[in-house]
Amino acid sequence: MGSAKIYRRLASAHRFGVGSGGWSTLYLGPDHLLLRSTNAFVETYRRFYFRDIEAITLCKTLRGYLWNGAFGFLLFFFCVAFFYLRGWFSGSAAVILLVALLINLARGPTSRASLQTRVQTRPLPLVRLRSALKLIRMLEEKIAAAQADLPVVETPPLTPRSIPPAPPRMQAIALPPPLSGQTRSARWSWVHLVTFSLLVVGGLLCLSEARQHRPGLFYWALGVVGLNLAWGLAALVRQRFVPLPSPVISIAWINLALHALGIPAVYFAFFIFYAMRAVEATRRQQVPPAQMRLSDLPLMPGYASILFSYALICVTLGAVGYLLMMIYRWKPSQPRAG
Amino acid sequence: MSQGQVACLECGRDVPADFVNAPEFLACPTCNSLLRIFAFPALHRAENGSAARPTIEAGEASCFYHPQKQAVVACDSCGRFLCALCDVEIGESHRCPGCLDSGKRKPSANSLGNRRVLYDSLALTLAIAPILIWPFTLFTAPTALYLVIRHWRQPLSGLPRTRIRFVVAFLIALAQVCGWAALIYFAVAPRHRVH
Repeated sequence: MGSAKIYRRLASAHRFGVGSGGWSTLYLGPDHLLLRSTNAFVETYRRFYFRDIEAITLCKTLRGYLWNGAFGFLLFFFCVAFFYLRGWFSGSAAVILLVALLINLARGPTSRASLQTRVQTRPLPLVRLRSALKLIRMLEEKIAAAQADLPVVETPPLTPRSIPPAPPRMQAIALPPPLSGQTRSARWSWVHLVTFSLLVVGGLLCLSEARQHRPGLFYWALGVVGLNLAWGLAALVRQRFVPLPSPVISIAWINLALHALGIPAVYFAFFIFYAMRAVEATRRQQVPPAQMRLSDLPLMPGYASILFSYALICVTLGAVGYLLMMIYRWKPSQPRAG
Repeated sequence: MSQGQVACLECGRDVPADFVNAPEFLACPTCNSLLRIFAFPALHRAENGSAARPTIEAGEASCFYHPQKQAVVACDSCGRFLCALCDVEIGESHRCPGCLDSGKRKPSANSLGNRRVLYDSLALTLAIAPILIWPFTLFTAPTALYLVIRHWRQPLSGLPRTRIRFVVAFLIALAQVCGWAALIYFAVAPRHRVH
């Protein structure tokens, strides 16, 4: 194990996914980079020798801006809620969101990176642009030194004439399909669009219900929540077969987790509370109702706050998802910048 | 992706040659993603012709696996002569396919192993997680103890890692086992006293 101390930790990132999720960490060795992927209780190692590294590709992503938008949006709503309601919940939520927003701003814009060798291309855990550039500058010297004596194929020098001109819109469409088997549109899904619309509609209904407490509105909101869960499942099935941008996929997963896990958990908590109240009623020799009815939910303590938070999350998720779908829908058809 | 080319991370298509080592981010012609590519000489490396040369003279060393081929290097692990076809370069060292295969399966070979099971984390999880549903500890505590004892001497990770998880898991699992023993003793002993 003594040889293991030669490694220096460079970067780390977490990726979400069933089966492929977990922490990914990059280490610097004497003559290679070590990529450690941890999935539950199994660690997998990949070594990239400096002599074999062909290229490191860095791609700017919108993830940081999206998080800033989401944090800012929620912060604004919780600040408004705090100034009107003066509740401890909205105040503490606003403080937490402000801290998260400041941290995200301080860490800077986000990126994706991958490392290419002759036989494989692997994603690297470099998620922040500034640190990624700094790291690549440091690695450039080591890799160049390791490859100083490589026999290189003579390639014709690039002149302004030899550089192909920026392809116009029609040429970009006429390109052959990519090799990875993506034969269908990689950036558009009407199923997701409906999911995000349902999220916004459901969120707005819940906002109205949190303010007014009308029985009709309550059942409408409940119906939309159920529909959201069912449609969220359809979106997951859809994205299994159609490659979509990763932020859209993340929102679909968050939507499903919220409806499949979050709402049942809240309902279960209310159920426990109701059962405790029933025990208390029995002790006082009063007759408790046999079971909790749906119409009893608005009478539970904290119902309005939880519904308000849920509505805000739904509207934010839906709006961000809708916006992303619009951005990615029109992105490929734009002519190349610069 | 074709040889000597770099692909866009978003759309997977090859990017034009002027993207390579450009001083700033450029938009992919297909998907408009902003890319910056840091390429190295290995991208344009010539094929080194790994085809093994045949033996020329009778006194020349030949490959252990291919007796008709000329040996170019010896395996750093077992010392067998290898031709250019059988030589596997790992960093500065040269290995034969047999040593590479056995090294991958051997847990102590740090430079070759590519997968490790973290038994210490597994034991710690088995010791801590079931505390919330304590009857499960009847099964998980002995399992955690077994894992600690069975894998104590085995290398844990390819990277520096202490055995503190093993120690904590052992102590918690031992406490749980002692708790169960006490529970059984105090539940059963009064009946014996009555009889």
